[in-house]
Amino acid sequence: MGDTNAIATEGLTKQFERHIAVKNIDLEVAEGEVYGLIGPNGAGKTTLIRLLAMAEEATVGEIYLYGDRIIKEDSNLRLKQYIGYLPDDFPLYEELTVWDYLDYFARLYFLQTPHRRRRLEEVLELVQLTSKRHSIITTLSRGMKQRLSLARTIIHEPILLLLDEPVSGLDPIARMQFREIIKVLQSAGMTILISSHVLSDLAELCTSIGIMELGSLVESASLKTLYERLSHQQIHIGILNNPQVLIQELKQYSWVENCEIIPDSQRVKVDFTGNLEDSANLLRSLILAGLPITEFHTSQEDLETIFLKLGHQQAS
Amino acid sequence: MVSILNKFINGFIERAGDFNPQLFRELKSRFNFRNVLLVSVIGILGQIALCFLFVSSLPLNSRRSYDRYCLGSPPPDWNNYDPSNNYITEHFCTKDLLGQAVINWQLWWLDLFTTISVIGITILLVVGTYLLIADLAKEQRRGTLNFIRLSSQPAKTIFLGKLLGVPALLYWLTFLTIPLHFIAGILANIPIFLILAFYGVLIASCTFFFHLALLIGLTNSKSVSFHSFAVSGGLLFYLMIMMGMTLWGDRGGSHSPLNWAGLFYPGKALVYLVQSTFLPFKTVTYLGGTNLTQLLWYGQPIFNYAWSAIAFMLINYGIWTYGITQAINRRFRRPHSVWLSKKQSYGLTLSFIVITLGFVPQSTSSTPLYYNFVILQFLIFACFMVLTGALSPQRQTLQDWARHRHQLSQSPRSLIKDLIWGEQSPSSVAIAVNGGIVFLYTLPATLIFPLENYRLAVMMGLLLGLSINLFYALIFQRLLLLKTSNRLIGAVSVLAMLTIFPLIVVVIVGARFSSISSIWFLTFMPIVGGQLIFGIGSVIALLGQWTLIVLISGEMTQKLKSISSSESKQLTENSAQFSLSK
Repeated sequence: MGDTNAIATEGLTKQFERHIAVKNIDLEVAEGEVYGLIGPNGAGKTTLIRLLAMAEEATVGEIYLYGDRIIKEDSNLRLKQYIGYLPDDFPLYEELTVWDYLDYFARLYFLQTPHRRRRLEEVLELVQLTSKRHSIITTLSRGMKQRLSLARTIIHEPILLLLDEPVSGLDPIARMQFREIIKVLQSAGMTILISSHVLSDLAELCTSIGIMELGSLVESASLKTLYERLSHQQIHIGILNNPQVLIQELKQYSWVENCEIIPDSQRVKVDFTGNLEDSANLLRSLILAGLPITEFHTSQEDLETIFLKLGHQQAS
Repeated sequence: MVSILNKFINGFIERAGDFNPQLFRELKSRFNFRNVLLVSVIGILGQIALCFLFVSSLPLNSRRSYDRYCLGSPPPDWNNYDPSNNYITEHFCTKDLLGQAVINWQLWWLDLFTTISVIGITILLVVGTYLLIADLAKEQRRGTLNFIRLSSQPAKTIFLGKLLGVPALLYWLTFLTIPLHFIAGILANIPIFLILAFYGVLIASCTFFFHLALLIGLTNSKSVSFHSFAVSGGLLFYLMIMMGMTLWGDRGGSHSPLNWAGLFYPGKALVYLVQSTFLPFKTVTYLGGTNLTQLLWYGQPIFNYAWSAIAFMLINYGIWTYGITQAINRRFRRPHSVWLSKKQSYGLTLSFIVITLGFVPQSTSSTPLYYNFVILQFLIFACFMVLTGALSPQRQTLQDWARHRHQLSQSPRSLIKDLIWGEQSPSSVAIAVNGGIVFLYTLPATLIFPLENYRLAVMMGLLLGLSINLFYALIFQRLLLLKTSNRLIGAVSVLAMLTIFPLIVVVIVGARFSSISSIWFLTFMPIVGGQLIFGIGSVIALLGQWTLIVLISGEMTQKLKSISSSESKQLTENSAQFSLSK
């Protein structure tokens, strides 16, 4: 097993009765990556994360975390110290205060004073709950509880974060706050594996993406590779007069794969195969050809489109 | 004042938390100023009320002629009294020069000491058990236990924290009661070391019952409140029975391995404390304890002496607490695993039979010996029912074992080794090994003990009983392989029917036709059939049992094989389904 992988699995399988929830998965996540896991409901994302978090035992197969194998009949106490796991239901001790709750988990992970106190203050600041430190948990909003759960997940400075649907049920502001926290953690060098149905969030956060379906990992690649392979570049061009003239002109260029007029507008959508330099050359050529160009901008198909193009009917 | 106390409590919790993080969390939830104050008031008022009750029972200025706490004999010419009336002879109220009755203070203090002890034992064990089961079940229901499970703390730290923290207010109440209890003991002339030994037994019993509560709490029950009430109610029932038997029903009587079950009641140790006061039984009138003190273990009078009896009680608690701890550690770490490993079960079965067989030889007459073997067989049956439940893997585990046995790293490669030692293999062979351990250990005893004409009957009865236990275990394991959702309840119900129904039939039929004792073969206690069971009938019964065992084993093996072979077919089906969906 390569030492550089934060996570590596070999033939990982989890079977419930006759249902195979996770089927023969060989996953590799390099250190420092933010790995997004997507797939329809029931694809096995949660089970895979639970297996990695040691909340569930694999039927067969092996899991290596930073090169160390998870041993089934062992408590794996040292490996547990590496992991911060946030499940999608995040149960809390509602009767405790925010501070006592985090203090308890800090103690569970052997944090000693005065470091423990400092760490508690740090994470409270990170999740923006410093002002709520003496509040009873039951009085917090859902977004705050979610952030508190994240604080609990990172209290012991894990090097691997496993986040299962961390933004589900959050309003847009809470989601944005959560995203910002993840970015901070990423910059701190944590390896993060995150599953979410909000693909725009994943596109913003992740360096790699894995797609699961029917328990199998059908795609696992860096986001860059995925875009290169599966995402088409498009150019939207606006013109002052008849768009047909623009279409005639565009057909002369080899980088233009297809073009069509956007209905009820003076704009044309172009499927473009060239690179950035080629698009600059195209713009220059159109202007030199004397066409009255009013708009020219390039765009790429997003993750959701790629996901749907791969034949998956839904992200959730 | 309040803030100082608050500060003191918080400081205490902080220090406790440095020792054990789980204790910190439990104390934070419960051990606050308001609760501590409330419990303190209840504790102090309760003690004051008890003292008032006892003081009011004193014949200080009363005109009563005789009373429990009076000390003296009536003058010969008093009221034509009958000298044969012992109560008056012992408890006649003689007056001192100030006209006040002379009081037997030692007895008064002893009564107070015993009352606090008995109430304390009951409250501590019943309430503590209830709190622990309810707490753990609540954690399971909320899902918070999973987080603790995923932390880097070993199970023993978590459960020590639970054990010390969940009943913390109960411990505080006990702590407040100790001064009065201790002083009452001293003034009743009980030696300090015996009072401390009693506290030791009480702590050991709390450790045992509270661990048992934690284990029960770890079963994934959905009906939490019923579970907690049922178990603590059951414990209350046991304690009440034992209290009644220990306080008032412990004069003489027969001895048997059932006495072992009584040793789990910590109040038994009070017998030695009362004896140490040298107050005669006719004065004290309770905790006579001759039944306990005359009890033998492998013929040795170890219960005749306080030190050896209390040491035995502590060792007994220790062994079973250790066994329960092992099960807790396993279930906490792997919630779907079996309660005990096969290796642990062998050790515990050996401990069980070594301890219980020791209570069989209470006399040298063959008939009482035989009856004690009958009781031993009942205890063995109970032990095997627990083992069957603790060793039988669930359907999912068995399916995984059947399908992936050769890929599972913790499974030894050889099938027979796997069946004897493996974690996920079926329980049947392990139950047979446990039966073998019991039989091999009991066999020399059946040869040595003066059983006379019962000897062969006992040997055959034990063998028949063990093989019927194996039959029950097989049925149970097979039923756990069923597809139905309520298979566990179904398996328990079927087992209950298989054990109880033949017994009812035998009792009804046997009552009418006492000559057909051989029908006891059908029950889990074939030994009751007595001498009649030794003969061709018993051999046929044994062969019949073994045929059934072989048939069910064969059927179960086929079932497991079919599960195993369906694996490749299923994988193919899934692959095809997956390709189609693409």
